[in-house]
Amino acid sequence: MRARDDVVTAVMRAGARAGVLLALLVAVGCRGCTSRRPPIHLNPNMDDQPRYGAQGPSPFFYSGSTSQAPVPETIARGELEEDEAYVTGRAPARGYIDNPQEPSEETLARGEERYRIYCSPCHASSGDGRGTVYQRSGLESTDLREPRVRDLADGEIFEVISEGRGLMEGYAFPINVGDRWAIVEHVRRLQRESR
Amino acid sequence: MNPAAPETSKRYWRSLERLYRSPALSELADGEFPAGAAELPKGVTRRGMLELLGASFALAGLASCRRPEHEIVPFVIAPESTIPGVSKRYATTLPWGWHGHGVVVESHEGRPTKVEGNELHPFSLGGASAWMQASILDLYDPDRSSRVMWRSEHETPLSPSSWEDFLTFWEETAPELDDTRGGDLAVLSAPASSPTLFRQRELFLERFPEARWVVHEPLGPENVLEGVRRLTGRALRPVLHLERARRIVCLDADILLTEAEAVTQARGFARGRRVDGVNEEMNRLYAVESTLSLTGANADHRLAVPSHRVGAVLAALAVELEGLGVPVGVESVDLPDFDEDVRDAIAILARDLAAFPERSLVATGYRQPPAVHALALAVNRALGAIGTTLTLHEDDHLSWGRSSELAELAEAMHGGTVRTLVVLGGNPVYTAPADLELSKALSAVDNVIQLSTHLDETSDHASWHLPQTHSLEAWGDVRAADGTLSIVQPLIAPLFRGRSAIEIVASMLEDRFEEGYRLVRDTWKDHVFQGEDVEPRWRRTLHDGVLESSALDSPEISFEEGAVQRAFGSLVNVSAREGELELVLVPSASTYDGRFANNAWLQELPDPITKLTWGNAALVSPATARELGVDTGDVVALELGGHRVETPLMVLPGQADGSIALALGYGRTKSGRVGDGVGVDAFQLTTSEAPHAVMGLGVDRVGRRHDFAFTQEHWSMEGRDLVREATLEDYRNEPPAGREHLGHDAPALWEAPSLEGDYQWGMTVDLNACIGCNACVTACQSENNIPVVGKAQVERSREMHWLRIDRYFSGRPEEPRVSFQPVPCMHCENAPCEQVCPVGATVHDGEGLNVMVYNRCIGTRYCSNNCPYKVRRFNFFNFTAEYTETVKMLMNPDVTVRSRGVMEKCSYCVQRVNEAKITADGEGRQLRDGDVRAACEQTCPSQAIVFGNVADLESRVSREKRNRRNYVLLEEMNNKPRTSYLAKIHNPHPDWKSDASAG
Repeated sequence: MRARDDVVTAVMRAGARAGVLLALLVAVGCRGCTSRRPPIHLNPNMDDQPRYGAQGPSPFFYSGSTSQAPVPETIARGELEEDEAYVTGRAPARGYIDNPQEPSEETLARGEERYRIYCSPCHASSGDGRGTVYQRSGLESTDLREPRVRDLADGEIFEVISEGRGLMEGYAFPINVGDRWAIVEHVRRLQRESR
Repeated sequence: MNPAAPETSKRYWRSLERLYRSPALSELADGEFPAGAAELPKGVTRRGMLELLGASFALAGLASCRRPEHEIVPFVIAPESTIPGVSKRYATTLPWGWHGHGVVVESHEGRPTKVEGNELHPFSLGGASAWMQASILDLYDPDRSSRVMWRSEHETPLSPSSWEDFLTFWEETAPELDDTRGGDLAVLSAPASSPTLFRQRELFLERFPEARWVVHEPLGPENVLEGVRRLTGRALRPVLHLERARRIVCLDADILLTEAEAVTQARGFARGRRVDGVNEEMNRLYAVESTLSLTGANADHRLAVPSHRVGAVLAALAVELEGLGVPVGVESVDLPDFDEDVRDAIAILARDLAAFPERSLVATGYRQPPAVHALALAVNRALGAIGTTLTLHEDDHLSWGRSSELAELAEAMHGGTVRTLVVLGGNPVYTAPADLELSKALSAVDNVIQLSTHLDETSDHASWHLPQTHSLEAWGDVRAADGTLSIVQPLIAPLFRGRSAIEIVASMLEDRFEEGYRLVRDTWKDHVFQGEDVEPRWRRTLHDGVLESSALDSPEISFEEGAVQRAFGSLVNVSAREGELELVLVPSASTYDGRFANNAWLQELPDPITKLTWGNAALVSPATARELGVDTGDVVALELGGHRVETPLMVLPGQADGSIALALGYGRTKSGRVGDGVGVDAFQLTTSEAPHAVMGLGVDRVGRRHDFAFTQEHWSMEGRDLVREATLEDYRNEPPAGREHLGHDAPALWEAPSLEGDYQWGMTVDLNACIGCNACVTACQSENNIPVVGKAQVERSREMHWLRIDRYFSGRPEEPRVSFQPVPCMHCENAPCEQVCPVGATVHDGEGLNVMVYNRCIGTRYCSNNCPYKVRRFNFFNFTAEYTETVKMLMNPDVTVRSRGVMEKCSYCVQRVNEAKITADGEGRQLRDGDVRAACEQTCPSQAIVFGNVADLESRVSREKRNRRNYVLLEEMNNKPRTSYLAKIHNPHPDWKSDASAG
């Protein structure tokens, strides 16, 4: 009957519209929705392999990390530091040493750059100890130009950079030995220029 | 058969069945994967089913559909020089018996991941054996014990305890032992060559003067060192220098695999076989042995003689030499009774040795009695070998296991006079001769303190079990074969709360725990450096892995009066025992003496000669098998002195008639999940009188059959000439020996890849240098995270080794010639595999590497189908699903760990290529020859493999490829492989009578 046909057609059209809407919804997804859960990932392939990557988690080690510190007193290839004073700032018999690196254009530039990257957040680019950290939190760092610091030997400043002092952590990991001496040079320059 | 392929004058055959064309084998060998390989295995276990269905379950489940969350857990305080992702290398030493091996271990973020040889160590020179490579898996073995355990009485089970409790126990027990001055105290130690442990031992015996300290070494050098001592009166370390030898005779001595310094001996041997000009001189190796060993397989000539007759051969040889004017010092009495062939052969040996004074060598194997070693030393001295091809180094502290001492200790234990026994490493209940009944003896001891890495067979009788550290996680020191000193430094803190032997002995002396570092440091400060300049020398030794110039002196030696004649006299009259079967117990090339039974890599490593995995077999010659009415696969009962062992049997060409060989180190019951129940325990047939070889064996068929997991008949290369061989004569006379050029100008079927990279990678394998030792296979497995598949899958030809070593026999089964050929991926320029992959998962990069893209692979396996070299491996299952945490640590982070359904194959160690490129970029330069070393190339003890840039005409690999002997496999197929081979040249003696055609 005609009326029936109309109804059927209407239903079919509605169904088609609904279908298109559904298809659009599926195609578009839940764009703009936020979720705390990770996205659906149906094909894991080998995204998660049974191996330890650098800096990954490990349920085996007490530290929870796959990264393990070298066993104390072991020496890797390429890490035979013949000159102990150069890498620690302290010679066994003589105590703290002076900066063994000859100052040059490059070392000054390098020292300044490294200082800016690693030291200036706390100690500020002028060395007055009121860097960004102070501005955000009120925590003052040592003023590198004060007499107490001027009186320190180069080697002791090197040691402080390497191992930290007080609230400051050691920076031996991110800054290599040559760069640390360059930073010492830069600190000396800040001290000279602030007289 | 390709009509264009050259007619081979030699017939190569893979096994006896193949030679005699059994119908069952044709079916097996004609398909790449044997029948049934593509179907589900029968009797699939519940776990197996779940594994198979795991994928679909994972998809069906909703919760696991999400991308997993990964945490970053960095160091809180990072160590100074550790850059995440960049590996470091530490030089250390792996102790082994009375010597040790220098290694350099690669460590990622403080976890050791790969062992390499130490190029600075005189007994490695950069090479490492399969055992050294696989030892890293033992470090991470999840079956290692991790608790101090204790039991109150012998029948109760072990219960967990602690180091403190042990110390308390010792503090209470020690005073009683002091009272008796150690009269009821004994130490049963595994062999060690450690100055620190020796110093501890001295202090121990000072405190307990009446105590016994016995070293037990099942496959030790007792006979060798005793023979030397009988002749010279001194404790001397013998060292072979094969690179200086032009003629070498091995008497039951597998110098290329199991005798002391196999790594450098292989290198020296290969140096003498290098042929790259027209008139190169080659050395010549003769082997006289009862079973087909690796040395015998590489020998130019071989005499198969039962083990008990080898001494008579040496005696006959000594007489022949004396007759030629070589002053051995023997009076020729009646010659031993040998067949004419054998006598002629011995005459040839004598003439050949005598023709090269100071450049010849007679090597004798550890199984032979002391008289053989003594007489051989006399022969060597007469030949002028001492000081050139053989050096002897004096070591007053040299200690080795003496079976008489063990027997006395066992008797004392049975008699109840030992109340406290300390077992320092090793597994004496498993390895001691069966007639000592050591397990019963241990039950009679009140306190058995056992230091061991696993809860093993000996732990069943221990009252205290102490977990032992592995040598990669402990401090120690080692004297190498010539006395060269090196330090063992740990790569990681003890993983399983273990302590080392030196720490345990020190704790027994001090009543508290001392760090191993302190103990080693003190020994070196006082005894090695004598207090001079300690710190810099110590650090340099740690860094290099060896103390320079620390070899022990080679003194002038003189022989004791009449010693030579006495040794000769005891050997010359040993006649053949007709009608009696001899049993020879040999070390397993995989598990050695059982210490590696739980090492899955080694269990799955095919034995170099039999290609057997996951088990051992009694080896029998074809003639003896016919006499006994047995065949390969029969299970037989071996009966000896009341002990009976049922073992499967294999007919091995080249085995001496009347002699049956069986490998030790299997049939363990308490090794861990990998090794338990694998193979048959041959130690049950050892006696303290005859731990190595014995007569009077009874053999009976049991009626059962056994399925072996061979890799031997798989990937069979159907009659094509894959190993090209020639004799030195032919090579010299006909320039392109063994080389015909075929089909080079055939048009390609498809477009050639554009090869425009800066470097073009290629590889050569020198078949003259390859001895078939399997070190490269294990190194590849370690470097590339290759999984282990287990015995059932190996039976289906599904082992995953990217690099395989094919072993071919030729000649008569009674006198076979053996050829080895390592086969990695050929990286063909016209690769057949690349053309058929439907999804483009295997493509060619601009530098000539055939590259496998794992995540594109959908597992059609068409590439493997099309590969004529059959170098591709498919992950039929997810072999890595059940990796424990410690095994995950071992995986090389630079290489993907593959899951199921992906194809994999040799990648020319592309991760090493990339690492070298990154380093070179950082230094602003191009890669130099030698910057990149493939894992197989680096570890090969004989330096057979060379990898590098073929576009650089001066690189080593280019020079190798210009060698006349260079050829590629299946040249007529026009695949243009980048991996080529240098044809094998051997050096037969012109007078040697043999039906084995040489080429």
